[in-house]
Amino acid sequence: MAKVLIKGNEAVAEAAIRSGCRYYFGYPITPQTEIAEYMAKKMPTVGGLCLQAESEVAAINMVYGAAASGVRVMTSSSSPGISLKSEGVSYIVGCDLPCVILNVQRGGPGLGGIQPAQSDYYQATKALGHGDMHLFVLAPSSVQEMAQLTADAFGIADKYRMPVLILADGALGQMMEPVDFDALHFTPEPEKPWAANGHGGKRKKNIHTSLFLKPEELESNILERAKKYEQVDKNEIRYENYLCDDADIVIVSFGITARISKAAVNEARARGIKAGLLRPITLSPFPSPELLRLADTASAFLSVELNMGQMVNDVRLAVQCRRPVEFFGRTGGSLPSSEDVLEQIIKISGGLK
Amino acid sequence: MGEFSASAISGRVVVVTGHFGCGKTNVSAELAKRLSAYGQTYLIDYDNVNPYFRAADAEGFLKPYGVKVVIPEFANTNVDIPAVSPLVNTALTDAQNGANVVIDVGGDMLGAISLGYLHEKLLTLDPVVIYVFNAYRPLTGAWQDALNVMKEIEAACGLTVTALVNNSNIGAETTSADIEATAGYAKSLSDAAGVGLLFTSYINCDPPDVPGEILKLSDTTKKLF
Repeated sequence: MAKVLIKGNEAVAEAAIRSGCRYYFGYPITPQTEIAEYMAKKMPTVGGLCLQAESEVAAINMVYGAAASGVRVMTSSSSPGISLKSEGVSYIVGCDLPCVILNVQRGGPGLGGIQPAQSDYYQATKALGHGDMHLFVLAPSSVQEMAQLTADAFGIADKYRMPVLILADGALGQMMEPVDFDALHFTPEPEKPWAANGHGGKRKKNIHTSLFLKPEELESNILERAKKYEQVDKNEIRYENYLCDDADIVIVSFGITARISKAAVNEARARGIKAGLLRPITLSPFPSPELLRLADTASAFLSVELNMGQMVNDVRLAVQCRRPVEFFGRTGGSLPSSEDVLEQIIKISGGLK
Repeated sequence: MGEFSASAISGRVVVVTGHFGCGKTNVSAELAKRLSAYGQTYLIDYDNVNPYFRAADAEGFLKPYGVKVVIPEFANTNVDIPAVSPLVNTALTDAQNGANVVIDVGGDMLGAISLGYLHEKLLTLDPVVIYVFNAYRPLTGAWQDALNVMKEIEAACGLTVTALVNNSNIGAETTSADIEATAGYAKSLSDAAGVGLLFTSYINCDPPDVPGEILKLSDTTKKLF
């Protein structure tokens, strides 16, 4: 049987195991607990380890240690738990170690709620941890993509020796769709000569630290890492361009809201309004060059998000204020309907005439 | 092959269990709809595990049939706590007088544990205990896995499964051939468990050609887009 019916959370766990991840450290939180449940059942059958840590802080530091030893490792949580992990994430970046982190977002701030949200966009793309740092941020939009981007995340993390954050939401984590795991492609694990896994008296010690005693040394370390980010910006931007090339109105939306927006774009087209959807698959690096290109042909942009307007500011920067960029969203755990998005498109298209 | 008739289980308490994500809620909602032709019917959302997709979502679908949907006070809210509605006891009291009661239990043994609260009362009502399975769910990909989950559920809730429902599907893409391909799995599970197959279900495809009875379900899953 090629396809199975699977929840987004389970799909991430299965894809991680198939990617060679043998270490999972986590702490339960709704709406992502199925990942830990799946890992707990499956990891022992493949010779791996699933460990429920005493807290999110402990879990991310276990990831830190495992990553330093050169194995493929991941953790997952939902918004409040991700906040707890942020210190550890910064240390992992400071040591240039690869790992995969999944955020199945729920409403915030604080404990917020357990229903879906995208209100951690700023946190994910700007500041999940202190210091001059970025994460690589992937935004899946279907359960199949939850699986494929998990597989990709391990390859990207190893290639650039940086943490990759998969930014999902409660809806994607909980909903079930058919997934063909045989169709996934995987990146083989590279040699990791830097791994701190026992020198056996045969090589120099590999030491991973984010502490630098001299400011000049820290500066040069950061400058080296900045070159890596330049490469990421140059080589790794991903997006889906759906009917944007002749569109008057380009919707920019990721994750579950991109699914809703796509339905709205189809509805708008059926009514003769030229709408399109630019769906960032990488949120960091952000598809700014493609948005700037579309600013030549589109009349207006509309950012649709599950928050009070976060990505909309990156869209404005990307199009360099050459076109108006509107925002529409719901927050606190509510989802807009495709009719709601269509209404916004009609409103903007009326304003264009 | 013939259509399953709900008259076979009318006037009974029907407890619907299964692996999480196997389709218990769709099966429960359909049974409640069909049982409503035989008198007063309750559908109890007894899922204390799943935060998003649950029987409470079927309330609109069941309204025209006069089915009373009993929902935990905090279903589909942000209060992530297991709560049982006091109306559950009302429904079970009415069951003693012949009302149809369908109880949609949460997934796996974790969901079934909370049934322990009703255990003694349910035993006096001689319930039909259904175990729903979907051969296309990865953690029950082999019938032996489904059998293990069934035994865990029985141990957790103190009830014995009396009927199986084959709800194998891969969502909207499911073809009748996909369902027919699971007939062998269903037979192996039924033989090993010593429990008969009540029916095989289907939603959007042609009626599957499988041994035993079949039942067309309605898709009551909440649509996000």
